[in-house]
Amino acid sequence: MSAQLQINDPKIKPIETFRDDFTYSNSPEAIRRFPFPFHEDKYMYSVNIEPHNVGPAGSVFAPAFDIDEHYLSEIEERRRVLEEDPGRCAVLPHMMEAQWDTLELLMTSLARDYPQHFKLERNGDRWTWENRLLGIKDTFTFDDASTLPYEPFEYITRQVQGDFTLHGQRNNMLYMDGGMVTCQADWSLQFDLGMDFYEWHGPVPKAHEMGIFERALKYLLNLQVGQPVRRLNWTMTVHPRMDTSPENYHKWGIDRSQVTADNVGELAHLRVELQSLFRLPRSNAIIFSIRCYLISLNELVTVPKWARRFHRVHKSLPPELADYKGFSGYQPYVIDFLSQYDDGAPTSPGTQPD
Amino acid sequence: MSHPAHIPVRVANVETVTPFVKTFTFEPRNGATLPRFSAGSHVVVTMPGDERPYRNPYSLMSSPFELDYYQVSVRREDEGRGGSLYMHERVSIGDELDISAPTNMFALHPLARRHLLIAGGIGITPFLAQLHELERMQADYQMHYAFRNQDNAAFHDYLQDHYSDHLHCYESDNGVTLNPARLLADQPLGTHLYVCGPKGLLEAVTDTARRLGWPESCIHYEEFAAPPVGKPFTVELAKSGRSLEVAGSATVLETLEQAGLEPNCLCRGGVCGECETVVLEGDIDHNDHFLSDEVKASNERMMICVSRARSERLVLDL
Amino acid sequence: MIEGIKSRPVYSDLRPDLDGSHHLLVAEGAGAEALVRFCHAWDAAGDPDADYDILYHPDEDRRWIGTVNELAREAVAVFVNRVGLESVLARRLAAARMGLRLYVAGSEGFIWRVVAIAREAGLSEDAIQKERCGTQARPVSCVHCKTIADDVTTNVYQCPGCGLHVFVRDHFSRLLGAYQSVCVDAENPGELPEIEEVYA
Ligand code: FES
Repeated sequence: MSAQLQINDPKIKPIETFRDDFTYSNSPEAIRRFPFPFHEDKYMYSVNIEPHNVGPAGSVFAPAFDIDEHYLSEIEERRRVLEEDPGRCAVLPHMMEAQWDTLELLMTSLARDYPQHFKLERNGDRWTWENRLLGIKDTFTFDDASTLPYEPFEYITRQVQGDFTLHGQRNNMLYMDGGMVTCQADWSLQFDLGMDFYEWHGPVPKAHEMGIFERALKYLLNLQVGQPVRRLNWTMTVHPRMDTSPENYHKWGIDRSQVTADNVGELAHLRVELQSLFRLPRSNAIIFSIRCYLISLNELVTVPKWARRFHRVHKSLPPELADYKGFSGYQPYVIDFLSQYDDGAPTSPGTQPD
Repeated sequence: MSHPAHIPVRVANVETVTPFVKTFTFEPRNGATLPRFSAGSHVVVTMPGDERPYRNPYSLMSSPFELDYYQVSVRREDEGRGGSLYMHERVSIGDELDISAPTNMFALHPLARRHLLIAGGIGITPFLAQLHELERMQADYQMHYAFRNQDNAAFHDYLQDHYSDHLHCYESDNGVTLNPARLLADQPLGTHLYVCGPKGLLEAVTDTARRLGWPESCIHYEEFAAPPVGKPFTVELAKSGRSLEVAGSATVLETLEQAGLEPNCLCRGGVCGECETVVLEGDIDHNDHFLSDEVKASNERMMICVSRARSERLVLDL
Repeated sequence: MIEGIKSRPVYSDLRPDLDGSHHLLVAEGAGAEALVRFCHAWDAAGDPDADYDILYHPDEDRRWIGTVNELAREAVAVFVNRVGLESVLARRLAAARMGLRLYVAGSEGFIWRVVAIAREAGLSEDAIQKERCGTQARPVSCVHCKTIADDVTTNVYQCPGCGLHVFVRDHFSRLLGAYQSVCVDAENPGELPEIEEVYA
């Protein structure tokens, strides 16, 4: 695959934290490839689903699953979350086939896109997986879960950044039949397990979005093997905190009231989810990868175009959306802060930094 | 995503299974392995054709665990639009064809406690892949196979050899017919029904199931509508102002493709919903299994892969 | 789907579904009301081919026992406790055939307990009708510690598992048979809203 040339070669940072002392930060390179999601100078609702695994060289869109400088930190954070709450990884029993599908998709994609870090050797059913970043080298039998230290889905998703959910398809519906969810924006896998597409989209702010959901479902039901799609979603998070789960809301909810005019640049983060969907070939299930990127306002304003545009997006955001996304309390500080960087100059088309 | 990726294949073998059925084995042309698939999947085979390419969906019948080749079986339809005749008469070993990536519209239900498979004639093909899967899962299943006579009983011996414990055959020329009511009245909770075959059998079985109170979620069937041959008519494309003639043996979808357009499509059998198109004027002759009766009656939408016009012309919102 | 996108379950009055070939009614407490209505509708529809069975647990609400017995079907079984009803239900379902219709009436906690047993037996949800009768109390699962509180009648309650004050959301899990509750004072610790009986 010529795609290899286009994939970034991440310089992996040593472990930083997403809790307590919050040592996480983005290097200048990481800032430049941040998936800034706004195409216009005002807020526009859009579902804009597009083909995935294609994108500008070095961008987060080029590989099937993006590995970046935060790899070790995110893997460590996942390990800590699971240690405290093993229920963050759960798969219903009828999804074993989809578990192996996931393992195969992730291993083959990573080995193809990052041969310097990952290697997969297949000898019939005997597979050897090497993850040099974590110092893992395991030989196992494909389709025999007893040859792995965890079930196949947990085994591989403990080694890949981002949350994953597994969706069985039956009776023209998709179901939340499993997942590895440790860096979610406020939803609980354990609670939503088994829900159908409409149920797990649970409380949405506007009823008229119904039509959008129906169309999205129909689209996903016809998703093809080998033709993944993606969309971006965003919200704001206080601190670079990955685990903004409802399970721990009583621990992080307080953060929101700690934002002040003085610390907003450091505390408030734009949180972007790169959501990509792949049809799994053997199980006919769908895997949903939800890869989270965090950038502080201080980091974001180092790109003048983004600072201007993000200011304008915030100013035009419907208040009920800020409420729904949970940042209406400190949004005035965000707008004030960003306004210092908005001189009213026009911005160039596209989302790339100038 | 609505234009499935094409896989270049070579015909590795052609086998005459019955006087009406041939099995084709496809190997990947680029040396790689073929994609894995789930039992019940089909591929759309593109044949060059003389006037225009034929594109027909066929169920994959080979084992889903076999990645070196795919197999499909084709029943020769002398009255059809020509695709199956082309496969029978023109395709031979060594030929190169394109197939789409596999898509599944007829999957086994993962929560079923028992799988009750009912095939009529050539409707056996998707079940051949599913039987591999059921055997591997060590599932509780029964295969009921109805056919007219041995000439129409493709793979009968193969099934007998491999699945005799689960197989029940009904040869109507011998006076043995499938009695759906008797079969369906006494099944344990959690049984799922799968039917594939001619329209008559399909309707008889699913109607009986519904009459006996089987919940809709437990009834599955695959009936690819072969697009019927009909009267020629004109389609007008409102947005581009173009006007195209749809021949009696062609579909609207094929006519548009011939004209260089790329309408969304996937199954080409009126099942998946991809090719739904808004109709601005004209009377639609629906042949699909996707649109609800209500929508059909509204005369506002059609599935252009199988449906035709009752009127002389249709105006499409394209 | 007219309701919009909600995971909150929709209940409706039990009605004989004559497409079914066997019918099993299961009720608790005030669910007897639904049984009586069902039986009248059944008689009015007059379907001599089929018959139904009733499993009933009066719970605290004993005033319905007479009425239920008067339904005068040999097929009524009244249970002194829910466990008894549940085990007979499981046995009946294990022997049941496709075509069965299950009708459940009672509190939400009861309804979803029965649905879970039915799912376990392989019955699909489109063969089940559910009617909520009597109390509106909700089974609620605390998102923090996963403890399920059985009959919550207030908008906010103190979770018996972790002691947090949690707010009851409309988000419902069929698998757990419970609504979700989330810490109510996470952003302003100690500031509790007024506690109201909203699911009496
Ligand atoms: S292409 Fe599937 S319905 Fe027309």
